[in-house]
Amino acid sequence: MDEILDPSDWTGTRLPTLSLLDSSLRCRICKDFFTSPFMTECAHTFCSLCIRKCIASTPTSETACCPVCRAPVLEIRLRRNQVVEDLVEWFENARAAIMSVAKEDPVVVEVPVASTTPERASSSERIGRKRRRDNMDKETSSSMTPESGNSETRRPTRAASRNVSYEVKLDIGDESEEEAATSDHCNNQDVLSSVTAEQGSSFVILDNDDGNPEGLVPCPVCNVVMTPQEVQIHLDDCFKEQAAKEARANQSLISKSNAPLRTLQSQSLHTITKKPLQRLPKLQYDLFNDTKLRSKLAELGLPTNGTRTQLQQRHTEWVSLWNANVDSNNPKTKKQLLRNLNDWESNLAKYAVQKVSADDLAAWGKTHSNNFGDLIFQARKNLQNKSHPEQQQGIYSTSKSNMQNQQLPENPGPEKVRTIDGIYQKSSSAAEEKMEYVRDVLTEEL
Amino acid sequence: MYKSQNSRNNTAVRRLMTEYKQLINEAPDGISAGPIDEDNFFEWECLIQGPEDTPFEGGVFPATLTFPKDYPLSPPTMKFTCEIFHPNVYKDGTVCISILHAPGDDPNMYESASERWSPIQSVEKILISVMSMLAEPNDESGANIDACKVWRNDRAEYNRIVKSNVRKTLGL
Repeated sequence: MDEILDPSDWTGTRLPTLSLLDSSLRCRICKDFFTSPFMTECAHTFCSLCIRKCIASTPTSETACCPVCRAPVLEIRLRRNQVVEDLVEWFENARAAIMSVAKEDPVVVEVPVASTTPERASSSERIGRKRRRDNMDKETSSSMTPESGNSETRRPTRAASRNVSYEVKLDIGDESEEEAATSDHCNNQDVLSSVTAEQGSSFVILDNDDGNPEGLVPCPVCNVVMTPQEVQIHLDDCFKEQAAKEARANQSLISKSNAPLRTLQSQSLHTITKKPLQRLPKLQYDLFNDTKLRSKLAELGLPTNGTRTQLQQRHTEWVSLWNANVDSNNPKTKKQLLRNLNDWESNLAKYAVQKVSADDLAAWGKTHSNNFGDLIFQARKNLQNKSHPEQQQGIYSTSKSNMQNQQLPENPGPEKVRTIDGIYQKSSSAAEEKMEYVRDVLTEEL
Repeated sequence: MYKSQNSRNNTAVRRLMTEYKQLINEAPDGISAGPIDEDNFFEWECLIQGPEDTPFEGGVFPATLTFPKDYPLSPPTMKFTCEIFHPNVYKDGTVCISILHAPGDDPNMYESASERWSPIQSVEKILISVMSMLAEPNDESGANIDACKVWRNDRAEYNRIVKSNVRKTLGL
């Protein structure tokens, strides 16, 4: 069971919320992390193999639908979801490490000092984050209101205590500050923590502005302290500089950490276009007779034994396996794929037998043999009536008289059924004999 | 027990293992389920608690789940192994509920496709649906016609039969 990782691993750890991240990086069909994730037109993502198999399992291509929202799905409209693929890879690589950190805590609790300090730090950080978000909320909401002039510049004026006329500029400044703050938050954890250590408060940018010299404000982007007038001139340049810096940083980050991944991708894409790793088309099996189908399988290098259904199933499974393998960044060799196909087939054989055992059928037949007998008898009767119209008339008249006889009693609904029973009971003793005979034959057969 | 190369490549087994593990780690109220024999993940045994404020309250109903080899593409079948009197349960214990029917087959021609089986459903969802089925029978799709009639026409009698069955399953 240990080799199975699932989102519930996170419950009971320090980071239970990670189970949401964990589960959203999983295919909802196989419940495993995405392997070559592909996206449907309705924007739901599944493993390439899972969704292909799912589509192949429907009787016709028109009935194929998204397992989540049941919107129609066409296999050729599936698109690779590269971002998710990268996310999965990175998360999977980090999962064990995060898990060990998340599980560490209970051990640390035994040492009182070590346990309380991170706790306090994290809670103050949480408060700091919240406060910051509150501030931002106020700012963004106040920017909508008419008196934004005052509240908008509240932060700088708290230091400068003077009305300023650059609210439009600052508006942009605030937005960018948010961006800068969040990007700080995501990318430069190290920088952030070093700042935290220096300033002694978790969120510097907003909290420390009270400490600036009278009349001076920090630039929202680079945090350099200057007068409000200078800020508005400075901001434009600062933005450009910052953007350029970030772009450069991102690029180097990607090229550094992602280098093997990227090259691999481009390689595999290359091979798809260059080498014979082409997607296989589906077949309209009705157009192939057994011999043609066998030769088609032989062409693909697949075993050609078995019944027609087996041949069809084998081909369908192979097409799914093959096409999903084409989608993969690390394609398997054909030999491995053939082994997978073989595994699949042996599983199919192993469990198919269990589904409906002959014993069940026989037992069922026995318990319901009376019903079968009645049905067969009635069917024969109808057939007879059709071939001998006079006899039918005779029965009709008796049934009429029966109906008249039994018209009096209470409920008409169930009574009708009873009259029909009556017809058969009274119709003839020969028929009853026949019924007995049919029952005997049936029980013997079963 | 999970070492065979075969089971590792088998989507159905892997998925059933994952579900089993998840059911152990985050057991929902009133439901318990797991494979009868850990060598065969295709046969499960489950226990369902009778929902509160229904005549089934207080009862614990055992059932078996049988999974097809292409699970989760096809739904499992569910069969109560105790006596149960309910409009949507056949007399042999087989449960008739839309979530257990693939979109293709519709025994009673009434179910909308949206409530049918889809590969994203799970054992947990099935058992929760069955629990709510116990609480709210759907008499439009009668599997047990007698139970349907009694439920519709004589609720007191229905409650009496169900309660006596509950006592039977508890061995009272």
